[in-house]
Amino acid sequence: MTLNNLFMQRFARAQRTNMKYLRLLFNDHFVVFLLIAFGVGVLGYRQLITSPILNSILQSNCWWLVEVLWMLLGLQVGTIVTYLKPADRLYLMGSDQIIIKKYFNHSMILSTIYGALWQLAFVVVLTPILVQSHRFTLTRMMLLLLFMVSYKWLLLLATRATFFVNPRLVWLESHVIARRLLLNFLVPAMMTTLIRQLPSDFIWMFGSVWMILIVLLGRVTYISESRSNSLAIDWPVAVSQAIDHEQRVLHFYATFAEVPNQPRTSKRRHYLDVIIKWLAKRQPVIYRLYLTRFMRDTELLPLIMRLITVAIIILYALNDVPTWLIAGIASLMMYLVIFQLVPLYTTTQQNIWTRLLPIDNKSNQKAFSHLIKQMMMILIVLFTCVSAIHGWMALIAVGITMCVVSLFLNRVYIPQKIK
Amino acid sequence: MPVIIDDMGLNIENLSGGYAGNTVLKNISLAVADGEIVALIGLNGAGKSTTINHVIGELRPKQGTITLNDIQLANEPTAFKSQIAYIPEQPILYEELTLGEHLHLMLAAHEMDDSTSWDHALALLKVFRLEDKLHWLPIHFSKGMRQKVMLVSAFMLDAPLLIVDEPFLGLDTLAQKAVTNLLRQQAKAGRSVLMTTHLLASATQFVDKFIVLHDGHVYFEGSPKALAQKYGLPMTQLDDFFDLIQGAGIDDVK
Repeated sequence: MTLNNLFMQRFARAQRTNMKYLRLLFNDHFVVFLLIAFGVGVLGYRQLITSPILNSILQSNCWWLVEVLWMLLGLQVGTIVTYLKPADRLYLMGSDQIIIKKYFNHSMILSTIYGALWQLAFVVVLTPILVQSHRFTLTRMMLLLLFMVSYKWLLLLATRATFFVNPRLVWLESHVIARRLLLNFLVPAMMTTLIRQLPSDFIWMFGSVWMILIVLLGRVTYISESRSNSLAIDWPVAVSQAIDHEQRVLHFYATFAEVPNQPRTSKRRHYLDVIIKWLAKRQPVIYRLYLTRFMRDTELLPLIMRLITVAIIILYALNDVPTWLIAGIASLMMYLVIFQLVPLYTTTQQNIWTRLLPIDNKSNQKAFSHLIKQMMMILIVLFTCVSAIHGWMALIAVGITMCVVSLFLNRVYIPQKIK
Repeated sequence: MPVIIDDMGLNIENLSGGYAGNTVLKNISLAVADGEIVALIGLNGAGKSTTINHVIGELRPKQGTITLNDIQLANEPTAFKSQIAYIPEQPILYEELTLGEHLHLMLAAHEMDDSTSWDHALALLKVFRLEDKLHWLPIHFSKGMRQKVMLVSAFMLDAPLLIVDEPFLGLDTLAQKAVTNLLRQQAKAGRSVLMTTHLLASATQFVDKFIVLHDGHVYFEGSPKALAQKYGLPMTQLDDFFDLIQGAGIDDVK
């Protein structure tokens, strides 16, 4: 193995892992979620662009803010992918130069491709609205895309600069928040506004100046053979960025499939202690353990909250659809939430503390089922209330269907999963 | 007059077992009587941790029985576990629970009265200098502090059998002395201790019996003095025992 192709080897390995998880996702709950989300998204978007009130909204002064925010959101998506590992700090310690010159070069190319694809997706999604607003010709659209892709590349370069102990260009090094605000938000917000407002005659000129600027910046940030000698890698920063990225990808997969060896982190959340105390009162100690772990998990609780929020938005947005569809989607979302809670049981059981506690399996399972039952009750009440905006029939249908599904989940699905 | 067999304490009889497809322990029998401190010793892979994993119910024996105070692990696992306290080699904690919550959980699971046992827990926390860290989450603990949480959780139970895998690993010298004292108190109160260690010379000060495991077999069982005599080593140089068996082979030395 040579260090020259180490990145490509790791990239290939990462793709194999991705394929493994993607196969899991597309065979599993992700398809359900994707179908619902995609269907609702397309439906909502179509309703939006064909709505007669859209024109008046597009002409309003605040609409540009929505467009700019969308573009800013696009620029935040995608980061530099290095696949660095904690052990690299030790094993590659004396190879900084080759890592900087070869490894990071490959990493930048790959990250720019990923980043460009994301920007393309964000621009494409907004295209129908931009065209309808009559402001965007093909040339202006191309300029916007060029700006988004090149600016993303600049952001990636800025991230790469943080991997060095002695970088040449790190603006506002000691003011991280100010730098982030300036580079990630203020500058691109101003530029996208400029592209939108620019008179047609100036588009070519603006594009040319921007391209020259980009080429110059590329020249300044280029790491030559001799410069790579004078740079040193800040391993803790570089490795921690790589781990964060890897964890984000794995967390995405973990939303819909079981990902092994996921490290769990926790946060005390004092404000939830009251709820824990109240709910765990007169409950077995093992129930308190499940509840506390759930309330303090930095991944699980936010994930459940996000899923419930998405479910509420979807249920709210389902206008002019049959009642059975609303009831079906509500039940499916409840299933997705409950599915996410199952690993709470397995990870608790995997902890040797739990296995050593003199508590039999039946009591363990009973306590977990109780927690699931409570979650299902909350979901039934929430989703039924949201469905009420579509009329009495929707309310009754959602209530009954969810009760039946919760019975199935509690009597068949959960016992099967935790036996 | 009928012969009364004393089944009190831990009794392992004809135990064979290990991990999937790998039989580590081969028909071993050993006993830890009430009030006795027994140390399992041997080189890496000898079967010490496998023996402990069997005793705490983590592994299922292929053959043999494990009994503690007349309760057989295979028949009554919950009742068996309610009699043991375990300190693993690597501290394992719930990342979501504070130190105080770990202790309350352990007491509640062992159905011990929180109000009466809490003073004992606090005294132990003081011994290990953790009394002001009750509200800390494990993320804020160093490795040594995590190990001390395990020690407090185990010692506060006053369980009939205390199992300790490498008791001094990662501990400062003050904590090491405290652990030695607590192990002695445990034995003095009539409770048994089963431990593993590589530090033979220091263990001679408080261990009643050494059991030498080698290649999944029990090769020696007896007092530290008997072990020293058998292998011709002074008590203070018992740590050389491993060099001896590594160099010549355990059978040759024997």
